[in-house]
Amino acid sequence: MRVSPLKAGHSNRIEAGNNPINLIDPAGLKPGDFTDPISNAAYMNAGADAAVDRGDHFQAFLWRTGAILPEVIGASTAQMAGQRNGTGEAGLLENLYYGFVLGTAPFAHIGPKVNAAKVAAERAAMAPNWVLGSFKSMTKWKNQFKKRGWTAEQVTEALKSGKRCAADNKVNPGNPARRYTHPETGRSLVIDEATREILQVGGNGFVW
Amino acid sequence: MVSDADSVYVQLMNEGTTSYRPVPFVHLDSDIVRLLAHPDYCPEDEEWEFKPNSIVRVQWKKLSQGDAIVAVELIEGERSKFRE
Repeated sequence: MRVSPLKAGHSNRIEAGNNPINLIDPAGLKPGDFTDPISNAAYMNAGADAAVDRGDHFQAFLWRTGAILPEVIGASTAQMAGQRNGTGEAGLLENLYYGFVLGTAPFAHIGPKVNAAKVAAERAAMAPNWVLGSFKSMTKWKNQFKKRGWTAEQVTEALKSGKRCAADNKVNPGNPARRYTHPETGRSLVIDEATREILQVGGNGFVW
Repeated sequence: MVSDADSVYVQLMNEGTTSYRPVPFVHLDSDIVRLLAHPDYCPEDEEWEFKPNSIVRVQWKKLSQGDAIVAVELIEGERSKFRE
C-alpha cells in the first residue's frame, strides 16, 4: 500500500505560513501576493519545482493546483490541504491526488466518497491549466504580458476557446506545442502541450 | 516593393517558438533597410535577431499571414548575441 506523504510525517504546510493553498511562498520567506496571477504562477512553479526536488510529488501537486482548485470545487482550505479529522478521513485534495495523479484512490474506502462524475467534471473545468515557462525570468514575463497586452485570464480564455494550430517548440523540441489565438484580441500564445508551459505570448502583428 | 511596405519583420529570439514582429524601417536601397526601434523597445524584454538601427538585407518570405518582408542578413550594426 502506498504511504501517504501526509501520514509519513512530512509537513505539507511548512511554507507559506502553513497555508500553501491560499498563500504562496516556495522560498519560505513570506506569503506572496495572491492577487497577481503572474507572480502567483511563478511562485507556484518554484514551489512545485522545489517539491519535486525533494521527491515530494504530493506537495508539488499542491503547488501546481493550489491556485485554481479552491475556486473550482469550493473546498475549504483544510479540505484542500488534505487535513484529516479524528476518524482518519482523507482530505479531498489527497483523494484527488491519488485518484488523478497516481491512478488510484487508496483512501476512498476510509475517507469521504469521491463522486467520479463530479470529479471528472471538476477536472474538466480545471483544464486547460498552464504555467509560465521557466526559461524566461518572471520580470521578462511580466513585461511581455504588459507590453503585448495579455492578462492571465486571457491566457486561459485563449486555451479554452481559441483557434489552434501546431507550433514549433524550441525549449523542448521533442514535445508538441500548439498556438492558440485569443478569440477577441486576435493575439496568440504558444504552449508546450506536454509540460503545459507557456512558451510565448504574442503581441499585435506578430507572425510565425 | 520594399519601399511601399509599412514594416519589415524581425525574428524574435528566446521566445520558445518561431515568431517575428513588425518593425518600422527606413528604406535605403533596393533590398536594404535600416531598422528602427519601437518607442517601448527594451532589449531585456524582447530580443531581436537584428537590433534597432542595424542596416539589414531583407527578402520576401511566406509567413503565417502571407508574404512578408523579413530581415535576413546583417549589413551594418549589431546582431543579437542570442542565436537559436
